[in-house]
Amino acid sequence: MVSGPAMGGLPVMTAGLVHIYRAEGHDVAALSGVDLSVQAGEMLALLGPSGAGKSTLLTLFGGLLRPSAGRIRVGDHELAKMSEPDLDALRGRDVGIVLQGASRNLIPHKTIRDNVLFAQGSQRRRGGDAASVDEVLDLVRLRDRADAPLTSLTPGELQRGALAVAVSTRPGLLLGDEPTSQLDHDARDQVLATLADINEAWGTTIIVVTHDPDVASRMPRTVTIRDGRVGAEGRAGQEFAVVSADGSVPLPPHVLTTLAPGTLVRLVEAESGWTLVRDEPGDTPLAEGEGPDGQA
Amino acid sequence: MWQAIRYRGGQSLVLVLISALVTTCAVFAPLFSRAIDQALLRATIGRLEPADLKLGVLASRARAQGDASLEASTVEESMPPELMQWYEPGIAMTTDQSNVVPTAGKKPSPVRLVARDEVCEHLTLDSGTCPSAPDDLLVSAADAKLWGWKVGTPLTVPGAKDAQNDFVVSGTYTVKEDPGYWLRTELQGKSGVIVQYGDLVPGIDDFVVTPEALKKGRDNVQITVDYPLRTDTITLDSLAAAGRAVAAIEPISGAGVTSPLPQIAETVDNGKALVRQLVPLLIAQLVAVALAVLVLVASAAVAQRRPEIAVARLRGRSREGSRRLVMAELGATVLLGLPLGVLLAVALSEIVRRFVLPPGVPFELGWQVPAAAAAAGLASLAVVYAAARPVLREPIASLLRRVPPATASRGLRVVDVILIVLAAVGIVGLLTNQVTGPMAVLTPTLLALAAGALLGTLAVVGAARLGRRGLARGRLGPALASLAIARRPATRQILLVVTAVSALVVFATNAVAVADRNRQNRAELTAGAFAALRTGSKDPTAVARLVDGLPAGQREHAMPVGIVTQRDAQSTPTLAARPDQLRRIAYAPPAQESLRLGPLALPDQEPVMLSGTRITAKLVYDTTPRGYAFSPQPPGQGPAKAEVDPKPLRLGMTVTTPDGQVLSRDLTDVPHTGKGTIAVDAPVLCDQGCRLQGLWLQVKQPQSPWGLEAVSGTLDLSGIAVDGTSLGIDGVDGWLKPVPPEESPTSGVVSNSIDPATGLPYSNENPVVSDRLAIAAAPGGGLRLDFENTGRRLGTDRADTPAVVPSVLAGPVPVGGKPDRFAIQNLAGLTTPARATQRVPALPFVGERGALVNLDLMLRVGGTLPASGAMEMWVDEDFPGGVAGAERALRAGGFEILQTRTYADEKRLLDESATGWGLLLGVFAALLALVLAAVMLVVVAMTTGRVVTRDIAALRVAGVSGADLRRAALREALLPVLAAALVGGLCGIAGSWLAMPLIPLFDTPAAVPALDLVPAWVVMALAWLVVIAVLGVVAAVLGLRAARRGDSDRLREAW
Repeated sequence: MVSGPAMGGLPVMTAGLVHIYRAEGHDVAALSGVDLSVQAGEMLALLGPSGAGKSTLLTLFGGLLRPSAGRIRVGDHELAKMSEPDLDALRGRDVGIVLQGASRNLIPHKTIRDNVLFAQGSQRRRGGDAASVDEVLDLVRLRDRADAPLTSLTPGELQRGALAVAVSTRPGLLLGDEPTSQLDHDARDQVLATLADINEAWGTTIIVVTHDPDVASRMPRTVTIRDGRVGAEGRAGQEFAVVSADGSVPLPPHVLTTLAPGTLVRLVEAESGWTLVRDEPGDTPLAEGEGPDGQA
Repeated sequence: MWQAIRYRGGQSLVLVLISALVTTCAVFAPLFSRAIDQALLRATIGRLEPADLKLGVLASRARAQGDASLEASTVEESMPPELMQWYEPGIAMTTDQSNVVPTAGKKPSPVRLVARDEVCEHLTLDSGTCPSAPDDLLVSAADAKLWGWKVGTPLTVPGAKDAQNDFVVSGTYTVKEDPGYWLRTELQGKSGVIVQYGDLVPGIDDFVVTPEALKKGRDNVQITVDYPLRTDTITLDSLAAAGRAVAAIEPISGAGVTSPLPQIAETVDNGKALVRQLVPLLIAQLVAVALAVLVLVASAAVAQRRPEIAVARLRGRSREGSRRLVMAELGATVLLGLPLGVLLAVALSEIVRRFVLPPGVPFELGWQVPAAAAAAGLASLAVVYAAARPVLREPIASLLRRVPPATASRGLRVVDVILIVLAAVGIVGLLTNQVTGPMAVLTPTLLALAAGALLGTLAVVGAARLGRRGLARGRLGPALASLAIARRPATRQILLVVTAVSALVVFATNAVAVADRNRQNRAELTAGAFAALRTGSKDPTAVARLVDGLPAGQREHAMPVGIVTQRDAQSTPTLAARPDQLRRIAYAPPAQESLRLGPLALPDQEPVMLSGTRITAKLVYDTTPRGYAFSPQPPGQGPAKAEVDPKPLRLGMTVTTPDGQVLSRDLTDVPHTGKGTIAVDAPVLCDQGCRLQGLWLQVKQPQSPWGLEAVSGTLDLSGIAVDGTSLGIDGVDGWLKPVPPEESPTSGVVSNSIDPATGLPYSNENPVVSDRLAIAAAPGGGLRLDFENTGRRLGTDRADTPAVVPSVLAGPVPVGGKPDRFAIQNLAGLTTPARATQRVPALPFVGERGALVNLDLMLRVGGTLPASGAMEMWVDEDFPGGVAGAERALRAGGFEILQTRTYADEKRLLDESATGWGLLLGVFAALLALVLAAVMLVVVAMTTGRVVTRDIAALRVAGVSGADLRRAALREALLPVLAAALVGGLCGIAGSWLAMPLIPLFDTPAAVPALDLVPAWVVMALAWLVVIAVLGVVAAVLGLRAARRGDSDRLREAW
């Protein structure tokens, strides 16, 4: 069973998460062992090149796909073990999702207000206590446009409308796939501000996928997905490689241009931390890693 | 829900419309069937005279077990009162047959005494008053004039003991025309007509008396009570009840009850059975197409709602919840179509009732209407549910994809394979007569659907290849169109539906046209010509003379026709007509070899007309008698004495008079023995001239017993002249070879003779004499008759009529005959030998049995028509003034017209039948199918429009020219429609070939003309062109619209 409405944010955790798309003739591994932990109330941006697996990861967080292997937990819920109705219920109250493209999140013949009410319907039927519509509309600054036809709304308003629908049940986790794409700067800023407001108001954990460096820079934490794994993590403007559960450390792309696959390296302990040294005369250090404790 | 319906207003409207059309099909079928049933009843009743519809009760005092006081009121009281809801009050009539001496000294003539309810209100009293006393009677004005009867004239009409015998004329009457009252009772028409009543005596019209006049002493009184039918009360429902009530009548002893209701019910039941066969045949195919379109439209509608379903799932709705959402919207939409469909069906049936069916068909909304509407609604909901199910079962991740996953492979789908297998089973079953019922009925549609499915598979694969090849060759327009056709899921839908609709339109229009052609054929055969006017004349020559004497301009368009029928249905009627006129004016029997009329031509020999007072000739005879009195003396006996006429041999001639009588004229008597010369001089006795038909000779009978058995010898006739004018018939050439009598008394088995030994008669089984006659040129000039005659008339006829009449024979050879010699009746009703020069399945008017002979030949033979014979005038459609003009012409010639038979009436009779009306449904099916297909094209364009216009916009942005894009869009829209219409047309032809034999074309099957099921190619081609034109224009407009809308703005995501 799913717990009651989230009070504050929900933590998210994955361990060895694997997802393979089964297509005709061949399989595609979108995620090949993601270990990630997001604290309750944290705001996180998932970065990475196209096809890296970030949208797949987001979809798995939302219970829209089932992982091929590994664990994924949202709050107390082990998603891989949940039945479909329970997943439906989870999405109906604990997880809000904003898909890429505002229109995909809204029922076109309804106003923003009606869309919000529609989204709260599931929770209400299950006896849940949803946020008031006006509270939600105020949060996304759309109260005055709540009853306007969707066709009269600007792209930014539509995107905030999509956000309103996603958070209408005051979920503990908000997932956003490119929530600022196709928006101008002002609209993007408004959306980002709205996300920050939601996080601040309700302590909702927010995970967004983005390609936009500006968006990433305004998120407290970024995780870069590369080749189906966590390739790096950024905090307060600084990027780190992440040691995965199996002990591997994905090297940054610019390092890989120097170290061809098969190159022998050594980790040399230094005062400031660990130094990666290529195994050749002179033992030239190529990169310096930051220890888990944050020491250089 | 209403918001959602309004949001996609156009699509909802289309969905409502299609659902309405499905409902219309379902509801119209029972309404139409019921209306046809009612129309059939109305038409059947409408064709009958009031007299044919009455309920008649006939009682007789003689049969009423000695109840000599039986009266009409007793009969009326015995009838169940509930009958009065369907019948008018009874009209009672009491009659008695008696006789009357019209004037002193005359022999008594038969007369009927009649007492009838309210009779005087339906008579014109020319003088006097209506009878009020038992001894009053009315006589007809005609009789009063003929016999000099006046008011007060006493007349004695004898009856039995105590009867009122003595009457006084109280007035004279003339009958007023009122078929509804008289019910074919005829008081007049007998006056002065010679009838057999012991002797030949003049007939007398009925005497009208009071009922009291017939109360006593009239034991043979007949009582009839006729109840006219209230036709407006007879409906399908009341017919059975009325029939039951009539069947339950228990008449008083000895009375008989007659009613046409059982026969009417049987006719209607037969028609209903045919309607039940026809309507499903056409409606089932239309419903199948309509449901197929509904499936496609519902699928498209559900596909359009994928994002909304995805949002619902995204926001925590379960699959069931999402299904409820979809069904609430789409289900409500299709249910909105129900009332509209019912209204449409009712409106259509109302149009049919008012403008197609005969008047009097009631407006009915039976329980079948809501039942059919409910069935249509459930079917529509089931279709929507089935269409939504696959989408609702998709995982949410799949629903969230921007581009829906391809659900079908390019190969044949399971549904396609099922369709192909079912169609194959149906075709094989039909060809081997192993399949009947619904499967047989649906086979043409299954064939079309299977062909559409197969075409869809082939088209997708073929278009992909063509597209790639076109791209490789730089032919951008065709390549883009082909690739678009290959990748659009709608392609298969379009191909499937347009193929099925084209097939249905071609099939249905062909069925209507073929049925109409067959009704036309049958009407032509039944009528014989554009119009046939049956005269009351029994004189063929008079009618022929009138027609021949019509003024130029009329004469060329009319022909006299003689018809002689016999009572036995298996007999062969004679149809006498002039070959050249028949070819020109009569309808050629359809679907059979042309009539070869050349052999029916008249012989070259002209008739010899005897117009004078005396006929003269020179006769040279050489005769020898034969018989015991003339034989060699028996041994031991002397010559026997025989008392015989010295001139026992009669020589005579037969002539035909202008009025057709065949008369015999004696020329001279010839001695039985010796040689000599006789100067023949005999009266012709033909005031108006006669035609010489032949010469005959005959030994007078009876002769002295056993004295003269035969006379043989030669008679040489020469110098045959009338009033001194040679007839030029002395040569052999103008005479026919004599035909030996078929039943010669001596050519058979036994003849009687005298035994010379005993002098007693004995049977001679090897007679030495026989009748014979031969003609030859006399040595001294003239015509020699070489003969031996026992008393049977021997003769030779002029060669202006053949001995065996050539005929075109329809049907089997008459019983006892062979094709080269059989018996028919000539216009005098006499048996005449005939031979068949051609055997055909049917002849005009007489149909499957008849012998067509040359009218002029029959006129030469002459004769007055028997009772079963009639002379008609047939006219073609160019006769000045049409049928009315022909009737005027005949009446102006003094001929009564008994009946006018027209092609139009015969055709109307066939059109106004269960099958005639039922097949009209084919037109409805074709039109509705076409509308469905056009709507489906619009729906497909609406549902795929966004994708198509985006594709076009993308190509425009990529640099493809507008002209190329327009051409590509046009090809993309048109090619599938054209290809499907072509394949559908072929399927329609194949379906017609397979299923036309299943369609009943007539209420009552006819042996001839044989059903002509050859496809109506022109009609099918026209129907096919209409399909192409309508669907092609719709597709082209939609394609060009998509091309026009495919600008770069479409690439932006917008609401």
